[in-house]
Amino acid sequence: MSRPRRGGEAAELFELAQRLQRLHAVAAPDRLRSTALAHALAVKRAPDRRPRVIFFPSARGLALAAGRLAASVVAGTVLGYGAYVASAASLPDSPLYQVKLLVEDARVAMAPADQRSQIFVEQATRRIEETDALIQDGRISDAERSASDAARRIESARAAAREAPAADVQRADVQRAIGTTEDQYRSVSRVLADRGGSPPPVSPPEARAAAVQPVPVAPEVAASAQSEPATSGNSVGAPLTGTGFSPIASVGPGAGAQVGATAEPPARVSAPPSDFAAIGSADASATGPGRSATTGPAALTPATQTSTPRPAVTNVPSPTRTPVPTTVPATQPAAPFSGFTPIPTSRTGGR
Amino acid sequence: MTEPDPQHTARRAAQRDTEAFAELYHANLNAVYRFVFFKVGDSALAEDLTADVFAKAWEGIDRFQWRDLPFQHWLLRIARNVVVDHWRSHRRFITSIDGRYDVISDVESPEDAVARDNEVDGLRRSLTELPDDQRDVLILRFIEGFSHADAARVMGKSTVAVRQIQVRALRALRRVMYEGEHSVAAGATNRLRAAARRNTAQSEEPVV
Repeated sequence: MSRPRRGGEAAELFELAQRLQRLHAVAAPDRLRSTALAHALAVKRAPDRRPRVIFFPSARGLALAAGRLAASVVAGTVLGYGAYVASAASLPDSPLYQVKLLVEDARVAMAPADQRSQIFVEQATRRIEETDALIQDGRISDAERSASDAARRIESARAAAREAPAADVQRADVQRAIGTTEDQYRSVSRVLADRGGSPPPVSPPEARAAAVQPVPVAPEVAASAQSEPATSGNSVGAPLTGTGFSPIASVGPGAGAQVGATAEPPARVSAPPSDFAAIGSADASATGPGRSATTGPAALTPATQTSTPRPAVTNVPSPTRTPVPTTVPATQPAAPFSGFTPIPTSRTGGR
Repeated sequence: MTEPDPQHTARRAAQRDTEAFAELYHANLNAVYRFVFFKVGDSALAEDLTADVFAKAWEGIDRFQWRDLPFQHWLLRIARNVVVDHWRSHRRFITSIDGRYDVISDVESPEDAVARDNEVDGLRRSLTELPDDQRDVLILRFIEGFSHADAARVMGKSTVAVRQIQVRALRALRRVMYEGEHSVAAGATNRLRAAARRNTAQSEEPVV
């Protein structure tokens, strides 16, 4: 360090710096020289601080974790929505087709009861359009699968419409939409049958009502039904289907003993298509006078029209058979059926 | 016998080689101790904190990388943090100043030793009156002989900032030392005047 030429403050500071340099002679005490190293080496390897971070995370750690979580959610949402959008136009041979079906099922599961029939109708219409496209591509087996799914969703729409509380006006709209979808389905089914396919039939209106399972009723209602079996069918008033029909739990000679078990929970979905003819034949004896005003323009399939009615079960009491109580009590709430939109018939209507 | 390469030794120490760490310890103990001693102004506390510095260094030796800064600079960074942590947890209040210290060279006359003790004690006390940054710059630049750039690396500041702090620190140290000397002289003067007043009062008392 060279001494500054000018005097005054600079010289004083220079002198001060030189005095500080002499402090370099200070050394660590001998006792520290011998003990500090042992103390240092006695320290274990850097302790794992993860538990402290886990239980008392710092603000920075929390912010990082929140950021990563938000990024994951955003990425998952974007990817999931992208997959859903991409799957919307997919056909059965597409890998995204299962995604599409999953989304449709989830949509039904999350929808309120009074909107499920509408959703089923939309999905059935979509299946019908897919069936049409597959037929045009010559993929008959895929078209059969799609048609089968369409028939299943039509039946589900019908069952959901029966279970949903709705006003008469909306119920009629729902039935009309279901009937329109059935017309589309039959039109596509005919084309598919002409190409060698075998689409499952949809149930006729009478079979639909017969496929309804009895709703469990309170014991006192069942008791009154037993005491007045002859009037039980008339006490229905205006059931959900609008037919005045008292659904029978099961048909066939041996089923009578099980009919009285009204405490069993009802099955949601109607019987498979193969049983439609038999079910449809069972309602002849139980059909009320208002039944003909049931379901709009739906035409019966030839098999159903020619089937012979088999009055296996009636509501007439017998010594060995418990009368069937009414399925839907007259006090059924008639909540409005909201949010229904008729399904357009653009694609298959002209076929 | 050639001097061991400090970089190579530091790399071995980073592999948790105790012998290499011991070499580094002996090579840097005085520098760390001086830094801590002149920062806290108390030799007993400086010993404890110096031991903590090396304990933390051994604890985190895995993270040391020579390309960032030499090992001594890394140790002095740890020393700064250890002192700051100590002041945070114990309040910055030193109840007793223990000015005992050892010297590297003991070949000096008794008169020189007394003069050196006075010098060291005065500067040590004055340094404790300065702000942290100013004290760090004075210790690193003049006591340890670091360049501006090295001092800046240890302190995490720019070279220009270190230069500015250095000028302010020297001026502040000069002021503190002048005030201290002035206060000592003023105290002695006051004591002499008080004694004179007492003597005068006793002499003016009437003799009964």
